[in-house]
Amino acid sequence: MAKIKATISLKGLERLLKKFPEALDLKTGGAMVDQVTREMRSMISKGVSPIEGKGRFPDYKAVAAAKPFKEAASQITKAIREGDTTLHKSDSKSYRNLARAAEKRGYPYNVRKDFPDKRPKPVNLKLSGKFLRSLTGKVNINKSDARRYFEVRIGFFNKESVAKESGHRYGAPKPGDQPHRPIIPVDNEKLAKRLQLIIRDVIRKAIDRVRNK
Amino acid sequence: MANDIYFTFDPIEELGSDVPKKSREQALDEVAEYLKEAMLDRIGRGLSPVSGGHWKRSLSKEYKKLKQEISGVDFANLELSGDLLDSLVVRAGGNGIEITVGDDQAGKAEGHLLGSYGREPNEAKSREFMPWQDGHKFKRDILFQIKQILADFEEE
Repeated sequence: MAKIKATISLKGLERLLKKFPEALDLKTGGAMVDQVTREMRSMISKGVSPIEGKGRFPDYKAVAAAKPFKEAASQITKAIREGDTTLHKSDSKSYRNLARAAEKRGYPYNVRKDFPDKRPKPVNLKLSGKFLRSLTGKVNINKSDARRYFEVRIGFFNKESVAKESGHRYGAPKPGDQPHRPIIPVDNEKLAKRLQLIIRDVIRKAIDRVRNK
Repeated sequence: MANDIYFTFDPIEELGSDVPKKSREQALDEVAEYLKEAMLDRIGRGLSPVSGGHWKRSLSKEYKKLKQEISGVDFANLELSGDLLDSLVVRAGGNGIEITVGDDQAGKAEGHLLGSYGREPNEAKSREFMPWQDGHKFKRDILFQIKQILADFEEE
């Protein structure tokens, strides 16, 4: 199961949470799931990883392969415009053709027939949209004093999406086929700062709600 | 400084935060991380992260067509090849937070900031994707979140 297990600093809220433990209820958990998954989808839709420090997702392989040819074509066009007589328009055209050929061979161009809306940019992990729609969360609460806990799990809970997430993290189907684009933090990775701040904000509001009752 | 597209500011000083010296580096690292995420989010929505920053959202007819074909959006979000945004650097430095772009993207960045695009500067056409002049500040909501991050490092 691909799920987020991340540590978030609650400095400044810890003392209040001890005083108002009932703030961590189903409503708070639900708000966390809603807001965090919404923001994760929003970040991914712009090609930004929801993992701290990962930044923008790398280009699709075919797009990256075509880039140097496109750059060469642009440079030739620019040089001709600036008066270089040693170059010819056909040189630029040759490079553009090479770029087109590199693109045609790979994703996402090779799926455009079935998914005409799929674009090379941004790298948003969206084809049919099913995968990102399945990003969700679960809230578990035990209120008994002896084993009190509050757990929010955010991630993918169906087999197909778990496999896809793993593919984005480790590369699929063949190693090196596409650059890695992990979206669920593992080991020492953390959620993106924006997501950490959302979680803190939800907890802060929950404490205020209980406090002002 | 590798190119002219460079902005630096000290959020600890500007926001009057009491972050002790020993925590300064870590606090700035965290602010830089957040700031980059916040800038990319704003830019992705076709908005300037700069307070009062200009952003020409519309595109020429021809460019709009090309952009829709490549990225499926019909407004300016600085993402065609994505090279400029890929090269955006937001990092902690000696004087606070440093914001710059890759050397090979400096010309493109200047075009957006000045609204020149190879011609005379024209503010109406600019897209201020980062602060670039003295006195420029980030939007209030971004500064609010930075303050929250810094508060974690303040001693009680």
